[in-house]
Amino acid sequence: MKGGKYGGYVVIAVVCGVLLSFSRINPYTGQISLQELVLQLSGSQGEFTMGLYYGAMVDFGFLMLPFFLYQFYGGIQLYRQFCVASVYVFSRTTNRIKWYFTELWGLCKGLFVLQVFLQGTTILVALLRWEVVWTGDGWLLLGVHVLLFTLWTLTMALGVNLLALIWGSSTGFLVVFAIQAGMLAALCTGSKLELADPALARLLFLDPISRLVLGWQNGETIGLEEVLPAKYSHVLALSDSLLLIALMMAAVVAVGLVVIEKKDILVSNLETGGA
Amino acid sequence: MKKRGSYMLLRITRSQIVFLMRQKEAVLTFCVLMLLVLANFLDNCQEFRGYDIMALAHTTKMGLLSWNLVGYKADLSMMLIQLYPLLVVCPAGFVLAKERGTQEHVLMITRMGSGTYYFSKLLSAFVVTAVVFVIPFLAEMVLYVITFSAKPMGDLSNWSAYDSGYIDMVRSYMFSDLFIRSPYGYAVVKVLLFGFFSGLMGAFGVAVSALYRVKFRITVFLPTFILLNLSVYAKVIWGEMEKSVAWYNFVMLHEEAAKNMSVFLVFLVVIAVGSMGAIGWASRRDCL
Repeated sequence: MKGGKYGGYVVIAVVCGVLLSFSRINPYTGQISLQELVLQLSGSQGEFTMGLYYGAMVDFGFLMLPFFLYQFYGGIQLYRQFCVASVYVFSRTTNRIKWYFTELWGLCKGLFVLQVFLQGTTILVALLRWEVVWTGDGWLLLGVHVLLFTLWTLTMALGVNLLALIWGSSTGFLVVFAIQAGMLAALCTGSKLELADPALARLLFLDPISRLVLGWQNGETIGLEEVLPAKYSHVLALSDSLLLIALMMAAVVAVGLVVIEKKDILVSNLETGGA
Repeated sequence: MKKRGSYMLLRITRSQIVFLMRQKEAVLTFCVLMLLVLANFLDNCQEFRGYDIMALAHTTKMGLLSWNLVGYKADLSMMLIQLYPLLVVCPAGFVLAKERGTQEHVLMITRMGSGTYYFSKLLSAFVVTAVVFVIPFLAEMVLYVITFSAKPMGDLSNWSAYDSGYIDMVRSYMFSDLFIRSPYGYAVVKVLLFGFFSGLMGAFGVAVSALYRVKFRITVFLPTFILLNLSVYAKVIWGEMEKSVAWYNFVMLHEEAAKNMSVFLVFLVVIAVGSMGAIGWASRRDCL
């Protein structure tokens, strides 16, 4: 039963992992260190950090694809309890806060399964094709990369759930996806700005999605200063990024607490309009 | 008998179209597209304020659907390209899911017959989606002609008109002869092609939703989202391809990438035949 519950995530993770590995991990010399491998999964192309031009954004969208697909399925995990089994669930679980954190834990488990299989498949395929050099810094960087993407995806999936309670699942997902697309599109405006331009610094600082690109960040506080290219280190720091995304998640969790406490059982079907 | 059946199908499709055009999904999608078009227009007004008219690019190259604009300033075009796989389902993609969810379809099928019901849904979804996606971009062309003038013939990539690079670029456009003869005629034809493609994608969403019981509308997004994104990431998945199969290279204006036209045409035929097949299968299924 449990295998069936997470089966979809495993399939998404394995398929996307294979595709990511073939498309992103292609070292010229046939050898790649773990930290370089992780940087490829975070937007870098070979030795070059991710640019701000249109093509780079499209490539980054491909990196985000397994997480967008998770947001499709994870985005209705809480919502479906409200509309499908709400009378059964809430008559037996009057403590909604406990129920909420139980469901959040379920979301985390699903995402954990996705990440394990995604990163595992990507690295395994890279291992079969190239020589991977294992380093301590590489493992730390992989951990930070996984943490950043996990927190981000969890925040967005929870956001879809909460918006779905008000507007239905399709609108909820559309809004959250549009926000992420808007953040990526906003980064394109930086392509014409010089490195020292304060407008570029403002754009990168204010646009949350820039926090997912490891190659742009300063890793000094975490002891990764030697492995990160730190292209925009004057604006972005890895420790700040982790804190910001964790705060975003905490804020969405807090809003979710308020919503599920106040929201009554959905008496009209937001999906089809009937009772 | 057959003639009466076709007449009934057309009559019901027409009333479905009128109904769907008034639904909030179609209106909101239209508003989102108009918002993007107007945002691009205001951006261009600010960007090219004070420019000599003859130094400007051709007005159709400043439009949101122009690939020429993507090379110059990609933010709004990127928003449109990212959102398109989801937006294209919105105007009419949920119509079948809604009616089957409330069991309204049973009443309608008893009145008009299963085949007429399902095929009218497919046709109306095609027309409504096409109209919603064509009107903003045709309106945009008129807006630019009024604001900027029909005289400029430049290019946003700053190629000179006699440069061999520019000539090669123009020759690689779809309908390049039409573009050379009449850039506005070319733009109108490409926008109508964009509308046709959008209509097909909208109808495809409806056809897939007929195959299963839709519990959550979010699932109606998936087939179109995956299909269109697969075409974009095909070169990433299958390695460097000589000719692109990304959907936007076929339906956007002024796209200079080498395009695999056979794949595109086969794709259109497969989607059209597949959608009709899916609807035909759904119409033969028992309601109860």
